[in-house]
Amino acid sequence: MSSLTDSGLFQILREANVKVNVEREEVRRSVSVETILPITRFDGLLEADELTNRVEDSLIRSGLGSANVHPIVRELFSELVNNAAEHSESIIGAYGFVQFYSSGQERRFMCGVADGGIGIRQSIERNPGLRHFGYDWSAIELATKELVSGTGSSTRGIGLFSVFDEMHRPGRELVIHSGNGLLIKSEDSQVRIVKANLFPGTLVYFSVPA
Amino acid sequence: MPSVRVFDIVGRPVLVSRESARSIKPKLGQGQDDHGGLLRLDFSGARGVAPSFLDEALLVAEEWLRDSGQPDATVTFAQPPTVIAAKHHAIARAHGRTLVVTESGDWEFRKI
Repeated sequence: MSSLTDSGLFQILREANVKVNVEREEVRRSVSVETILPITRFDGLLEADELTNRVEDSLIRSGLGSANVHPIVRELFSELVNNAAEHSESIIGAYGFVQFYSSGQERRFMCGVADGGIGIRQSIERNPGLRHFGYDWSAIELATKELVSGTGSSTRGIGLFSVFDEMHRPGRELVIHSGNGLLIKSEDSQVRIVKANLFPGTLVYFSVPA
Repeated sequence: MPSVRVFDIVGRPVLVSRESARSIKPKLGQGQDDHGGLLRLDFSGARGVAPSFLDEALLVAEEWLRDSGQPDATVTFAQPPTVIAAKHHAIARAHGRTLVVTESGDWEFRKI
């Protein structure tokens, strides 16, 4: 979580009057962070489209990381911005960022999308077949399964499933926070699902070796 | 059956949203009719595509096939700008189709 704190995202959310329950940490000076996409507000599918295309241009221009990792960053990021734009109903819009991080021998792309919307539980409970979830953490876990969607459409529910599936490879890290739930898939592929309350909204963050 | 070049319609190198995938549908009726029994969406020129876009593009293609009285016809995604993964097979399953990669690297979504 410290690299997520380093990203500056929580500070931006605070500035948007979102109550963030994360201790303010000193940014670690031994870490070098290059910006691919600065923390950028977006609202709606058209802006999600534009943001992903900005990431693509910036990845190419930056020359950072292996070229064969760029499509992974782009595709995962595109699904997250799509989800936030389509399902969050956030009155503060949503924020996305992509950074390149290096520390010693380690090089990673770090990406995140956060919104102040209704959360994953409320979103999937719109599907009449998925009503009455008691807990946010159960809803997060379910949302990572194939074809689970609040839309009720039989073909929907690819987004978080595809992100979760891609993150199963060793060295990749995924954090999904929504409402009072937190799913963490660590770099050693262990998955933990716990109760947590960082802020009232949804945040999906991932990092992949670059 | 028609063939349309998706990049020419959407106009962006990375194909992202379901909304932009919807813009393909009106063009299907204007596509070149030279691909026998296959409806062909040509992705050449694009550098990336989100799973949501692919899913919606397949949905749009199926709507067109249904309107044309050929709901079981195969949909081909030519030169897809991504590496095939579990999520793409999941998309095919959700549509009652199976995804087959041809020798030329195109993806055929065949009705089960």
